[in-house]
Amino acid sequence: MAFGRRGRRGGRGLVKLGKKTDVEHPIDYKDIEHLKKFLTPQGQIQARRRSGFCAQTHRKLKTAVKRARHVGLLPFVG
Amino acid sequence: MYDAVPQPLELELRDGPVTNRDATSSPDLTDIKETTLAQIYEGMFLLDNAVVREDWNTAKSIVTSTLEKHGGTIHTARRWDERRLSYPIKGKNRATFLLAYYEIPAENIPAMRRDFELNVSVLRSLELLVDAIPKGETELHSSETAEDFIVPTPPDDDHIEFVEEPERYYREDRRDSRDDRGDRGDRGGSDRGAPEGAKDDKGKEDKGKEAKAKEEPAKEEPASKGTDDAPAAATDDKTAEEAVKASEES
Repeated sequence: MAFGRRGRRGGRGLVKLGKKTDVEHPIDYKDIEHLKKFLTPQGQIQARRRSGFCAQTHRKLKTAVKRARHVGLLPFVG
Repeated sequence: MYDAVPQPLELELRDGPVTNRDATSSPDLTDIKETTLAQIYEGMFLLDNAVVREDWNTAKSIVTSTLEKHGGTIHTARRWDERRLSYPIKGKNRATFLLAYYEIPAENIPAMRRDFELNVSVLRSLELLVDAIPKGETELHSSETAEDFIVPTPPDDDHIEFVEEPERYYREDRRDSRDDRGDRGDRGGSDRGAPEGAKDDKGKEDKGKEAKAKEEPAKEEPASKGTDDAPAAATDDKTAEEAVKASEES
């Protein structure tokens, strides 16, 4: 049952950024534009409830972001 | 990957069951171990743009020669991209990324990493274990090895320009520089910079002064309280009498 963007109780609904498991677009540390979609403007990783990922995919995202930060493709802060 | 692992039945045919300790001593199993340990790795190397600007093949050979030195077999090695870094690494804002897929014995990896860390031309490196070489990677590698492949020269703004910091403003300087105003003079012992001994003495003196100051008004007050109104009334009476006398005389 769908309640629209605002949900059943009228609260602020969360817009899911990604799919539960995105097979067509696998997460890779070199794909910066894809990774940036799941980061805040300060460079923090979005929560799972925001990204809509399953736990396994979210762990992959975490690893990919940290690898990208290590090689200087993504910032640690800002 | 696991096809090379010996079956338990084959091991039992030899002298007794083979354990992990025996595996290293047995020549056959060491061969198997070596073959299983050589796995495909993905390496991302950040090269200094100054070296790349001189010659790309020289910069590439820095990585490939180090890998080969440690027993690695390179499958592909190509220029991935030249990008601005999100944060400066070894004082550089930009770097050229080299992506390589290679096989290397696992026991040589720490020494290889150490070599890359010590190398000034390699700003940073990332080694990952992968299942297989991705599709299209060999074609990109072969296209780079072609003669007509031209590596674009990296831009010049890769080096960070350090701006000299302005001279710091010290509090001591501020104390010394009173310009033409001259010496400030004694500030009554409340100077925070006074030495400890002097401070104590001044404190004692201050306490004595304060005590005296308290006593004096106490002495004066009772006298003043009693005489404050009386002399004022007396003077008023005197002036009134004088005024009356003067009017009578006139």
